[in-house]
Amino acid sequence: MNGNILRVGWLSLLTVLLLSLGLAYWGLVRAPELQALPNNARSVEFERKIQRGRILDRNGQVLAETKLTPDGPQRVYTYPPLAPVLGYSSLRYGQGGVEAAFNDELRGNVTGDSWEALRYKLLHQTPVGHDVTLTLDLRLQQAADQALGNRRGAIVLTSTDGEILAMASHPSYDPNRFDELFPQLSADPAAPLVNRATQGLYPPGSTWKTMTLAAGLDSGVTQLSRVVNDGAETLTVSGFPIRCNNNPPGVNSFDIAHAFGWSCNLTFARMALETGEPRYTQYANAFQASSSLPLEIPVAKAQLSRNPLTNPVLLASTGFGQGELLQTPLHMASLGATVANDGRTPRPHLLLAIKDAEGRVLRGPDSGVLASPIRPDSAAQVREAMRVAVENGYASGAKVQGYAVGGKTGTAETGQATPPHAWFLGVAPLDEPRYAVSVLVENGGEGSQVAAPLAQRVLAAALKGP
Amino acid sequence: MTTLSAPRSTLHAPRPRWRELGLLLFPALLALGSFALLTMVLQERTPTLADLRPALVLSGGLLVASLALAWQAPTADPYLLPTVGCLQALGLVMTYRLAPGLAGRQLNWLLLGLAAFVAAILLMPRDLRWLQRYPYVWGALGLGLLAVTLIAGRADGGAGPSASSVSLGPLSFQPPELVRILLVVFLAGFLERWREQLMTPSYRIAWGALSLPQPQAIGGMLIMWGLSMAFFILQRDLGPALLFYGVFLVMLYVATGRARYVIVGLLLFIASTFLVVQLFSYVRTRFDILLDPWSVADAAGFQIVQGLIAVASGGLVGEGLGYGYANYIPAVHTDYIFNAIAEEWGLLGAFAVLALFAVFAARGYHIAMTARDEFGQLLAVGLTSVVVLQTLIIIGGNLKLIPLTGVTLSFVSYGGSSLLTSYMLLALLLKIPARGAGGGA
Repeated sequence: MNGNILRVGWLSLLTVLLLSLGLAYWGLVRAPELQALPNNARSVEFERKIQRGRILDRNGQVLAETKLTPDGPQRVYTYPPLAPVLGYSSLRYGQGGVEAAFNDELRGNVTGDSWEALRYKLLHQTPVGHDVTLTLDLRLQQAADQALGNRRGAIVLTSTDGEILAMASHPSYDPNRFDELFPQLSADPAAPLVNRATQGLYPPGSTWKTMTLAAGLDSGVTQLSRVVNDGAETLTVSGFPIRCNNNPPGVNSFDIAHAFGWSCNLTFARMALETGEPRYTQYANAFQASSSLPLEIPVAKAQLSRNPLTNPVLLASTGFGQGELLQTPLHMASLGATVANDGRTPRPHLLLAIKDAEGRVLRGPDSGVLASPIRPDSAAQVREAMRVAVENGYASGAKVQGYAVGGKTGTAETGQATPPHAWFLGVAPLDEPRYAVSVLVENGGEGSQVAAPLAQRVLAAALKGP
Repeated sequence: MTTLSAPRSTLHAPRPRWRELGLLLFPALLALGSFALLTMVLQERTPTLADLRPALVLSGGLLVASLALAWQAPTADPYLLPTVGCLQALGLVMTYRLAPGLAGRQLNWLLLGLAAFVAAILLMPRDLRWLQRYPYVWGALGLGLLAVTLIAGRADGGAGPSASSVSLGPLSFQPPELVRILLVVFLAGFLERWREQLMTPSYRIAWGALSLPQPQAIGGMLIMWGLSMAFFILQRDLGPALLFYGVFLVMLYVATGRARYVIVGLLLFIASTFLVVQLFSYVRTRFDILLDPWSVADAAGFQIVQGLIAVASGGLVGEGLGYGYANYIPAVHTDYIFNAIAEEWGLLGAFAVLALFAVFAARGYHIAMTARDEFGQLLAVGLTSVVVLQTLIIIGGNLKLIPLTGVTLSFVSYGGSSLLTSYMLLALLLKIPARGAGGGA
């Protein structure tokens, strides 16, 4: 009988060995595949453990922070109107906006092959993310949001070295209820999830005359003091009639600065034609009019035109801001910043610094100069024209008591059935430029009536200080 | 015979079983270290004596068990208790880890189990003739318990709608656990009695071309097969039926040495299982999940897929005690504790569990080979096989090698009845007299 028992014993050890092989099969051979299954909640659990870093404004005001609750971490946005810019961080829907742009840093770089990731895995420490300090100034952001109010649109306020001080996009949403609201937000025709300041492409209307003027002055085809008799004229380009349209009744003779201030279409159509191709396109593209600006969050690719500007009708209408132009409010703010910055386009940026939990600075801003599309003296002359526009022209709504402000209004046609987009592009203070602002109100109407007062409120807040 | 020598040996002053006591340091340190670690990880504080209470209770219990053995079974195998102790330490800490709400109750069951062990060691006569003499009494008792379970039982909320537990006041007990021991006792007595007849040459029919097994073997096999199948269908759980039948086949083989019996018996079981699977949709679902859990990973296959993910997530050295997510597996503390160990203790920890059961098997069958008489041999084989087969059935299910069934991992899973009967089984195994040992002929 002992032989039988011995055989049973060996058989049982053999089956235990088989179990070991099964264990090794699932635990080693098939492990990567199993761990990647969508049913594996461990990656979500890992995310839930992370004390995600804070997002701060330039003065250290908290914009977003993670609070650990018994139900898991809760992302708290202390200033909800910034939602289209800051984005969201959701276990279900991932990240968007600034949250997505700096996701690795906000999570503390705890995945991948980094030392932090290895340390976390070995020691099971609760990962603490890094804090992201933005260039935004909460006070100016509030001014921009309050100015825009319930209107659909966007405001971008930038410093002359490219720091985004305020970026408003309306309508916004409550990012603190993102998971719950997402289905309706994504279906909402008003597109609250879209950051209009960087993703919204609009015809810039007459604010674009700033670019045409810069190209005309820099190329030497015009001077500010040149007097034109365009008030009652009609310029016919290949059978397409262009008139001044906007000059005060009876005032038919004026210099280029006033043509800018009164937004005379004819003058700028002719200026574009005189600048000519390919020079006009070269200037526009040097102003990033066909590019996507480099920013930490995604920026739409702007469009100078779909068809070549060798078509004179298209070149002429592009000259006064219609044609096939599509620009974002950020692109227009960048145009203003270039003019304010003596013709050098500052690289726009939202990041001021990334600091770890101990306050050590891990990364600074991505600043610098993107391009120099015009000479400093040309830029100074454009600013002079913008001053005239505010003091004597249609941009007077942007006047700030005690400061010299330059600006340009825009009323971009959107078709027969819908009201035009209201635009404003502003630069201040003119004696020593520090700020550029662009305002867009979707289907808002006249730029001078609708957009200029909003720019005025934002510039006043920036100029006068807290 | 030797009735006079038994009382005499008890007059000797009992000597501590030093080898066993030394080996018991492993489960004691494992338990103390694990509970200290668990407190530090889950509650993030320095462990106090109260946090170590389960470890101290276990260590103390094992010490008392060893002393009881020293007194009444001084020559018993010194490796089994430490082996079981290690499994128990792991099981207890994982119960506290995975089902803290049930852990207190489990500790009470452990105390009850160790008390039953000590009582059995101290009170059972050294001679097992009282078990050997009336096998049919034990068989009838087992059948009666089964019948009571099936009639008065209720679903235990485990892996399926199986009626397997009865309420005894505040306690809920699962008689099938105890029936396993009664079955082994019955079979050991029965087979020891009929062994010679079963081994005589088979009847040959058709001019010697075909041979039939002995009618006793056929009869016994048919009865066992019928009972297993009835149990399978009524309880709707393949595991216990497979366990009963498997233990029977192993004991039949050991008693007769006829592999043919085992093969015929296995074919009979496989064929009838196949039939049952075709007939009962509930059982068929389990087989379908076994073949493809991935397409139903969010529904019927959830448990098995989550179990495998847990194994995959542990890696070689594991996530560490308290750092896994095995609680995503439904019924993890009863059905999937092995996978939870694999996640938190790693493949090394899971291999260690398998190795401990291998040691249990080796020592159990060693007791069988050195037992004084055939009844003891068969009894040891049966008792050891219960634990071994249970391990194979549950871990095989956990690793998607066979259908998952509601069988516990002895000494490790949560479950009071299983714990209590496992310690009674161990006591019985350790009391089987060996050749030439004290009290032997």
